[in-house]
Amino acid sequence: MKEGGLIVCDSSSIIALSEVCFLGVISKFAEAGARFYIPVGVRKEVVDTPITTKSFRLEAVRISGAIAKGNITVIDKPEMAAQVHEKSNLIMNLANNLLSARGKPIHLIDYGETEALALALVIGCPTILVDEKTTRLLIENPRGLHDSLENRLGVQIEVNERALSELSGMLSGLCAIRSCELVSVGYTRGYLDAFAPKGTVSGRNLLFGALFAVKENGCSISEAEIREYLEMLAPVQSGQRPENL
Amino acid sequence: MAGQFSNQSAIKDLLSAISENNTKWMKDLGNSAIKEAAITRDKATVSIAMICYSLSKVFNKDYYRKDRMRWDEFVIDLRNDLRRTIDDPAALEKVFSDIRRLDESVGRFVSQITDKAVSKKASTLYAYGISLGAASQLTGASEWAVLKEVGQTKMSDEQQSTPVALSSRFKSAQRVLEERR
Repeated sequence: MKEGGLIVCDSSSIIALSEVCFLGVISKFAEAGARFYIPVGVRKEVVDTPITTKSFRLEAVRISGAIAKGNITVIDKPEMAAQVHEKSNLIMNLANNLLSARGKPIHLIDYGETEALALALVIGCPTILVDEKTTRLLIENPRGLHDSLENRLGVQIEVNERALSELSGMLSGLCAIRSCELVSVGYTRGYLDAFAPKGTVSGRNLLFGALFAVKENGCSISEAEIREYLEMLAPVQSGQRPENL
Repeated sequence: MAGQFSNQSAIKDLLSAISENNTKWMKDLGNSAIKEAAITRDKATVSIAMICYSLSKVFNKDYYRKDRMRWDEFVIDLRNDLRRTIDDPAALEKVFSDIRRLDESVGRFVSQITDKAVSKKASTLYAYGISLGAASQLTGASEWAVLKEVGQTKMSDEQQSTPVALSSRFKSAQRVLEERR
């Protein structure tokens, strides 16, 4: 796979970022050379469908603007569509036959999510921006899904080892990042400074607020991870009194 | 748990829970139904889960009963329509409209209790491990509403079954987002 500033985005991350008015962070990264790609199905989820609703129309308009400005690119080339469609169906078929209960396969994932994975594989982009935890676990730890379902449903869940090995082989080259990683890297670059003039708000408050906002909009980051980010990127300086976060 | 579940017995239990005004039972029935639906993807089971959730809220709030005549009418219609669903799952839609009608006339919020039930049950499926898209598709919820619902829960704090360390994920992000100009 090619190394580079390419990122394929799933709808979950775009939704979380737009809900907290952080599409500007994407635009800053795009200005710095990163390229954010989405498949057609993701555009449908983040623009075409919500623009018809009262509750999410403004967010859809904002995302549509980010696409129009070229900060997010929709990959809709017909010659690529067939490949993406084929790979997406293959991933969906494997994922939806990975686990079963009472002899019945559990439908884990839908086309929209596998389409983003398929696009990443077809264009050779190793990084996928995904807040949605099932897709992320399929990439990183499919057995974790088995444990989650078994514990929560209280039934025995069987693993299809053949599907697991094929799926893991297919997705092993992908690396998942979440909107909170984007926000954290953006923080280190000063991309969040637009929210408050320098010196008016402490870095810890700014980062905490930003990470908690994406968490509240569906990014699967735990409070423990938020605190880890704070210690890593905005530690309390010696002699400084820590804010009550 | 799930081995014993059937839509018909859930409806019969729901009718009993209504007679007893037992909102905890209604809630538990809704939880059992959504667990079953995670496996079977049966639309009627999903509807039952949402109806149980909605009714547990409606029966729990006094202001729905303020207009006594309206409330009594609602309970009679509800019972009749629920009984019909035992033989005809299509009648579940009628039960939804009974709840919507009551909510429209006396409810206090702009968004309806049935809409809340949809996103709530979709977020429960998501918590189990069903993807956002699959949960939304099965329940008819908007992905946006489900993510908002998920954000209000402790779900991300409870489930950290990924082997990837935060520092390594951050470094990956830094690498791919490296400035190129």
